[in-house]
Amino acid sequence: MMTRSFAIALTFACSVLGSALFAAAYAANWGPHLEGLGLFVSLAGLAAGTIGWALGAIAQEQVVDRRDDYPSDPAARAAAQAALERGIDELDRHGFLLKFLFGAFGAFGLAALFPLRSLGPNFGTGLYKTKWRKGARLVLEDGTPVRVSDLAVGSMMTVFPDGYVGDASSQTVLLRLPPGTIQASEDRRTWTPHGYAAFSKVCTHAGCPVGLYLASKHELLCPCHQSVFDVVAQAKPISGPAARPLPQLPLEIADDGYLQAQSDYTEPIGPGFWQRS
Amino acid sequence: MRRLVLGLDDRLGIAPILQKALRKAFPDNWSFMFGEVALYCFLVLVATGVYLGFFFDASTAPATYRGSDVALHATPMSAAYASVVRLSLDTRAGLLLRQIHHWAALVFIAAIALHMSRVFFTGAFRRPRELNWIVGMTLLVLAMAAGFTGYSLPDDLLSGTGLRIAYSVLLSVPVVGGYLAFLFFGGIFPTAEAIGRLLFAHVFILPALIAGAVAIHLAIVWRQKHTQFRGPGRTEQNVVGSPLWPNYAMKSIGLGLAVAATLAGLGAFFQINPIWLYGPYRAYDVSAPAQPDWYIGWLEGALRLGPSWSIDVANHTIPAPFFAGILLPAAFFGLLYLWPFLERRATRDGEPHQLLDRPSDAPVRTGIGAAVLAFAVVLTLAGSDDVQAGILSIPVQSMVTGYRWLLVVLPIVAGLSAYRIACELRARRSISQPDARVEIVRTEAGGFDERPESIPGGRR
Amino acid sequence: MNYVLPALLAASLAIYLRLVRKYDGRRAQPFDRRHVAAFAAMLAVLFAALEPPLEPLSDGSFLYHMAQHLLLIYVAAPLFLLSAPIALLLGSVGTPNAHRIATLLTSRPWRFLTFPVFAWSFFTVVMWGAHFSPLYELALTNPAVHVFEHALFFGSAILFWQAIVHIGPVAWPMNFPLRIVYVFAAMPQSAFLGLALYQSKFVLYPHYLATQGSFAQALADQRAGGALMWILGGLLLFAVFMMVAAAWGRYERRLGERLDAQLDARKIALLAATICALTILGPARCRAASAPSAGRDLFAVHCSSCHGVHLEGSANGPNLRAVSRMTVEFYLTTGRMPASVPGIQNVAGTPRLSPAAIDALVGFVMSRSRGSNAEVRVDNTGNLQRGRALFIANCSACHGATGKGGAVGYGWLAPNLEIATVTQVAQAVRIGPGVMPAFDPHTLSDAQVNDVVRYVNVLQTDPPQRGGIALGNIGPVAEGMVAWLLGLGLIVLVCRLIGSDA
Repeated sequence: MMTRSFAIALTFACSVLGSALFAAAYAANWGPHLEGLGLFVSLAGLAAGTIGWALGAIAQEQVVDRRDDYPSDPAARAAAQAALERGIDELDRHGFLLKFLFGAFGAFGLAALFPLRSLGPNFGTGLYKTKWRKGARLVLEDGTPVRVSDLAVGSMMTVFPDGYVGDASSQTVLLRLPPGTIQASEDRRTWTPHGYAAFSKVCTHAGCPVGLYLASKHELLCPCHQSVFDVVAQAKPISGPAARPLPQLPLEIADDGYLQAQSDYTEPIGPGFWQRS
Repeated sequence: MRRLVLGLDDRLGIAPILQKALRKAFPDNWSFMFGEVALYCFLVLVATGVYLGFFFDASTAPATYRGSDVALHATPMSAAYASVVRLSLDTRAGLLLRQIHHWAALVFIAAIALHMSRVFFTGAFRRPRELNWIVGMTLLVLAMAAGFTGYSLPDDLLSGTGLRIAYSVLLSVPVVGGYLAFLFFGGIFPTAEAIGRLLFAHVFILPALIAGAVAIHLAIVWRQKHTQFRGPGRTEQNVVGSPLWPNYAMKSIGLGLAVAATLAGLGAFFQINPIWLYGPYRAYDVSAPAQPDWYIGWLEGALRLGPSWSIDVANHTIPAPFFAGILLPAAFFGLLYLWPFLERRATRDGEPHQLLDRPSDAPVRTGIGAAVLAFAVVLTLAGSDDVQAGILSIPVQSMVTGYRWLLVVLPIVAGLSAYRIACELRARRSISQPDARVEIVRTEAGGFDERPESIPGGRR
Repeated sequence: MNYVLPALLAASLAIYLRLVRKYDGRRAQPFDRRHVAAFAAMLAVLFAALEPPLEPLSDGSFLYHMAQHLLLIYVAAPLFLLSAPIALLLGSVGTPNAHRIATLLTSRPWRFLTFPVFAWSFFTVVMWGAHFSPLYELALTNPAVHVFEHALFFGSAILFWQAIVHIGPVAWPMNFPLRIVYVFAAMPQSAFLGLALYQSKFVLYPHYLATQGSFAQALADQRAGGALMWILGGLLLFAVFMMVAAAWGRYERRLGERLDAQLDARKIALLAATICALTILGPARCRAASAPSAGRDLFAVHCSSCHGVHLEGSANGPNLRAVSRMTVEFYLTTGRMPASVPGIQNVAGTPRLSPAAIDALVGFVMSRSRGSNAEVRVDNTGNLQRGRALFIANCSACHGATGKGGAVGYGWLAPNLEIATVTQVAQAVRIGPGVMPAFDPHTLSDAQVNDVVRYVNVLQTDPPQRGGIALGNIGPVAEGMVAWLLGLGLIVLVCRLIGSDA
């Protein structure tokens, strides 16, 4: 017959087994599942035993406390108030000194904030420029430059300026579109030779890389918040929370057949900020 | 044992305090245990976190990995990432403890949310416990921050994407956004200092603050004594429950062990955050679907549902993430922080309350709480709308539209429904308790009749 | 002699003939006279069944009553359907009324009634229910109920037969095998009913006790009726069964003749084309073109309805004249084609065609297409690390770092890579199916594709679930759900266990 204390003892015994399993699994490198199983059995056995003991093998009783700790009786409150006021009155005799004290503390506090400035560089022009320059060749992640014939229509690649592979601000998505589909505005007619179009890969909403290209619809989708950019219409956002189009990189084809940039982006890339415009 | 008590009393004179403390009454209601659950999750987090801290290298310097995952051998990665992969795949008990730590974080904040809901719907935040409500809300914010900094430490593709979003949200603050972002992160994203600062926040600043806030939270509860539900023998002037020693202590320790066991079970059998699959963070790579841990999901949902407002005013821009990422959470948390005072003003009830309401006792509060909860839930669900779109084969764009409608409609529906149900329950309770009895007397003729004066509301 | 029924029959004949005249007036082709004959035959059968000499005899004898019923159910009802009443009605009334009728024929109640399973079951229930319930006896004593009973039999039989008589608009067209099964299944049902009546040791209908005189005679009469149902009913059903089988045979023969005619026509055309082609293209291509091929037949059956008989495309499927070998192989081997419904995205599944059929089909299409004949060659020698880097750089944005895929907008799905073979993955990379971009050899060399494929293979096979149950490997969404439901759920249960309700 299983008495209560026997049952509780049994759970503790199981717990010991679990601990042993954990130790053995660790020593013999049996892997996280067996180690975890041992830990689980060990803790669960302890828990079951403790709870069983608390509910079944201890005398259940209820106690009643009185809630008369607070608020304190009026005399004590008055005494406390009086003690506080006595001190304040004493200090107030030289009231102007208090003001000086607070002023000095305040000045110290303000001064103490100054070292926080060392946490980061000056805001400066960092967010306005990337590493793209006039004549910078487009290179893939492994450093190979991109020739005119390298991308098929409907394909996409991530490119960087030569020498700055991996630079977060300069990341650019290079696409090749069927000839005649790009609706370029007046000033961007020369930016898309041979159907190549390049846009900043940094989403203008919250900065995630816009890595999904729906080739047959000519749309770029950002996976973070599902902003959709229409590539043929200069990456205008047509859906989702992005408000501004992806900045476009002006491309040209060098004499040796490699793709290169005509200049840096003409506007700051990435998400907006106060000083942007 | 006797020697212990006597020894302590000799040095500290604590005998009367000890006697009172050991017999202190703790109400046994099951819903009062959620706070303890959160506390024990925190203890598990600290215990496993201390262990993990010995293995983590917070440097973003390039490192090579030559461990058991062959695919990662030639991948350029930071030392932080390499250290976590090594811990997970090539260190005994490393993966187990890391998974327990991460599961504990998820359950920790879930327990806080559950506890907060219990406190809200039973009115336990009313006078004299407004201060504790404020401390508790702060704990929620600190816990979320600790979670966010924690899962961003391994510098993997998924959490790095989240850091990028956080950077952009910080950047979107008007006037000071750029400075804030540069100061917090140390420059233009991604920065070399970020992981180190996250580590310091995650293992020192936030745990210290959380521990301090928890201490204050518990001290206040200890001092004020726990609330209790109405019932026989319970008044505003007393508290009825199990004595701390041995009853409640045993129950609580048992609960703590059960929490630890559950977390150990999760960590043993359920994979979480497999960073060796995501790969190291690269600012130009991304993986879909991209979601944060669940407790940041509501911010993610807000960003996804947020309309594409970018306001250009006088040569300056207030971009879209500001409204969904800063204003909305500020308003949300502001409302929650101020709630005890708002309710006191609205109900004109400044009395101290030691007895709890049942949710149906306060229909308006319940309705508003349900509406706020529905709002948060819809935002959280919206954070994974692309996963749902894939499962249901519905275009993502339609999901967004649907969730926008739901965000407006569901809180209203939930709030009104909760309000009506609470009113009904309250009304039903008052009916089922006859508060008058009718006296029956035997007439002289031998029959039985009611004594007229005892019939409520007059004769027949 | 009852004058009501002959009058009704005559009136219905008159109406029918009037409708036929109107039909002939409206239509180019006159109403098929065989339907009229069927209608006349039905009227004759009805007259025979419900008028003397059968009618008074059936009053007294279960046997003759059974004969009446059999005539109604197995002869008159099919004849009614063979007279094509619906087609006649639709063709003879004006357009507005025809529209109303059409609306009725597509309405839910009609579709429910005519659903074969329902019709069959209803017929069976009526048969058995009428015989083993008070209805039969009541009908014998109450003329109104008797009329109702006959109407019920006739109506349920019409419902039963309409499922296999396909003249005019049919709500639930069944193919021949199904129709055979339908009729065949009714045979044991009626046989059992007849058998039950035959073997019964009790006189089921007290009315006949009176009319037959004695218990023994009533029982013998009942047995005779049961036997009649069993045997004659079975024979009639069998006859129908044979008629349906014969109709099936006729249909198949006609279909075969049509296909042969098509193929013959094409043979002649091809012969002419081959002669021209041989002089221009060279032997290899033409060998494939002129040989009678299973591929051509397969294409005709499975593909031509959407892609056009000459691969010219249609509203439902694109032009295949420039399709590449990789594309055809990819779509066929992943089961995306033949698509049963031309939808926005065909998802992978079990291929509907056998590998031999796919080979034949690929051969046929490529013999017509001027697209590239290049194939992908992948093996196990790809570089795993390079493959991983390429995968993260180009693929993980849509397919996820774990290859589990996800929604990419507009209802399109980047599929889970688990179920694709390495060849299919390589083909997809090259051709860019659906909204996926294509990566040609200039963009990703064959070696690079081999690397990517090696990494995808590792993602599929080497269980990356080192931590345990992977929860679909979709990340924090599933983890959050498990934390709430499993983690907190378990813990709350423990709280309920420990704590009290007060």
